[in-house]
Amino acid sequence: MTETIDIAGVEKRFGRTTALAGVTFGLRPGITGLLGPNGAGKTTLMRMLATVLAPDTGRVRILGLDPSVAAERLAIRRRLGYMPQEPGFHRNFTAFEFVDYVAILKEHVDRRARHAEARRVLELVALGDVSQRKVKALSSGMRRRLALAQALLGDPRVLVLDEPTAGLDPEQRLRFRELVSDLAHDRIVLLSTHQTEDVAALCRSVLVLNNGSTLFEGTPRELAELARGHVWLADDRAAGAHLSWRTGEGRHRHVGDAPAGADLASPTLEDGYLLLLGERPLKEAA
Amino acid sequence: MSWHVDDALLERYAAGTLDDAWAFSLEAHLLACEECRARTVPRADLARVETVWADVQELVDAPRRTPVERALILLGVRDHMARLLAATPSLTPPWFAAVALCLAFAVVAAHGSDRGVAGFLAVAPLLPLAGVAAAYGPWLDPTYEIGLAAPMRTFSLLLLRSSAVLLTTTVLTGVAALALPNVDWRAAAWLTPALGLVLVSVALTTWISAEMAFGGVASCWIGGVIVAREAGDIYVAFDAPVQVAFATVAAVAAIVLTWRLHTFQTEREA
Amino acid sequence: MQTGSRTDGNLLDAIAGGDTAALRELYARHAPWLQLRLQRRCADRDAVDDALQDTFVAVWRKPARYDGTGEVAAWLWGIAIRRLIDVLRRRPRMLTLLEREEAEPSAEEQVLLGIEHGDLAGALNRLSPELRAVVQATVLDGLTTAEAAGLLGIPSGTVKTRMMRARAQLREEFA
Repeated sequence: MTETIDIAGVEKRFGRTTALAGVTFGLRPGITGLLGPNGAGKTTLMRMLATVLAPDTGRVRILGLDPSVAAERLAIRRRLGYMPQEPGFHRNFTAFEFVDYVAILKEHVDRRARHAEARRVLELVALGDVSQRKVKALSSGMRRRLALAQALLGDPRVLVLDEPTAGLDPEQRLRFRELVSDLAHDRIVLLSTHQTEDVAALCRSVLVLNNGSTLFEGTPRELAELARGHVWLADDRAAGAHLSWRTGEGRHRHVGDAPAGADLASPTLEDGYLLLLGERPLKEAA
Repeated sequence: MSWHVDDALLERYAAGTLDDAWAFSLEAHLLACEECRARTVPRADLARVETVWADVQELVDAPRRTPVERALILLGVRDHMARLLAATPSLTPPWFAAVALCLAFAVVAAHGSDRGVAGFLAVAPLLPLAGVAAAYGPWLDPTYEIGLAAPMRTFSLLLLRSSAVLLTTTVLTGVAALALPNVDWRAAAWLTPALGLVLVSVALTTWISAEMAFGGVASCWIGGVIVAREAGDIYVAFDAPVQVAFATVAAVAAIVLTWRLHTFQTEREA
Repeated sequence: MQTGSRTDGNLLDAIAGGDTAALRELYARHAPWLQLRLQRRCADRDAVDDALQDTFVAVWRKPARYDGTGEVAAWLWGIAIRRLIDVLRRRPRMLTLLEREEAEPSAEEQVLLGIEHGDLAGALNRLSPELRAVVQATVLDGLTTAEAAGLLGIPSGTVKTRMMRARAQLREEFA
């Protein structure tokens, strides 16, 4: 079994909307970030990789297997963990009962083994002490960790995490990031987000998606480098900049075509991302 | 505490060779002294202590079984299947209560007027339809999305759930039908329509969305019943030819469903 | 004990809040001595293991039963011995009284015993095993006549008569 995910020329349309317009990329073991504004097609792509959705055209290979073939799709699902964007929980379940339930869906039929596995993943996400607490009594950060725990059942080779840090406060986000980085090991992890800090902190490679197409595929460093020479500071707002904002120190940071002799700043990943997005009509800000 | 148990005593106590008088003192002391209790820890049979802990943990962690689950297990269903089935929204006590209430109203209405039985017959097929729709669609299943990505065969689970719902709702309706005034063949005239409606809806979901399938079929049924009533005799909607038609439709839908099985493995398009 | 570790009372509070790690901690502290003490009352190891299991499951389910007075250890023992009685009731009786070596206390120990207990210990040791078992059950373990009967597998009446004989014998020794 090859330890890669390969996507070529994938398209997906919903009625008259084109969600994905020919996406091509490859994933290796390690954490890859999928960046893009709302409506870029991230969730559609994630669902496709989680084998929940089939593409209209194009080729998808997960661990060398083809999800359009029933038997191979099953094999993929046995090695894949999926954390959807808004995971739902049965109202009255405890954390343990929830993980146990998903474990049943993942074919863990033997009761004692299943319970041991549920305990194991709950320990991994540091929810072992509250396993008997009802889900509705858990904080939002804990619920996210619970959703991550179910994705870890069966020790999958592939992890698909759809906006796992959305809506978390900075401290919760940090804890979550630490968790993911500990658990990534040699798994293939795809993590979608519109927080550039998540990507900068965690990811070995980055994919930028907008309007259903990939704008960039490479390392976080390369993405930042795209903006070299295109980020500058000035005391006043410059007219020609694509984006500018006032920093806390009082100067204005600009992203765009720098005028000659401008005071260039060292580009960050976010600058590269914004520049890329700016090259096409901007959708709503992330 | 001034006096503590010495090691030699502990050894003999653990070995069972300590005489009773000393043992009594030691035991009484242990109740009050955590330091000496800690010193007994390595002298117990720790292998057995661990095994017992594993059992305690199992009993403590074991998910609580709902009454529906226990009933299913009694019927011989394996415990993991019972868990999955019991999580179906339309197999829970609140749902059964709602269905029972509807049926009660329909029966009371039937006793109230001579057209009432028709009302019962018109409503009865909609109950299993609603139940299967609830078991089926993403609306009431919080783990729908996660479930789609899971290896468990979606269709088998759906089939099992829908069958269980169909069975239970049908039994409830059947019992209610016995309470109708003049129980004749008409009291069972809702059965084939119920089956037909459910199978057609489920078969349709292989092409269109669940909302459209179930909603559309329900609307057609209601529409048909109203048309029959306006045309003069509502019972036309339940006559022998209609029964045969529904039976045929149900059979055809079942065949179509088998043919379209493969579509259940991925997202049923919204 | 390490500073900062929780007291048994704290652990019970945590258990009442659904903390399984606290149950684990309580178990680690108390299961070993409970096992040894139960084993001295019943040779049947499976029965002892069952009783131990039932004890901690009961603690998990009703931690509030501990009213905060007295040692938690004593409360735990109260549960454990009664669970053992339940277990023994449920199964066909095999071994009840533990057959252990009747080790004679050494001369040195006899002297020490005499000093410590005013030779009550010696007198206790001179009771027959059956009488001693009854004394242990009613006096040390605090069981009622019925409970002692359940533990030892003898009728309540026999418990009463044996207690009377034990008292008579001990009184005679100190007369």
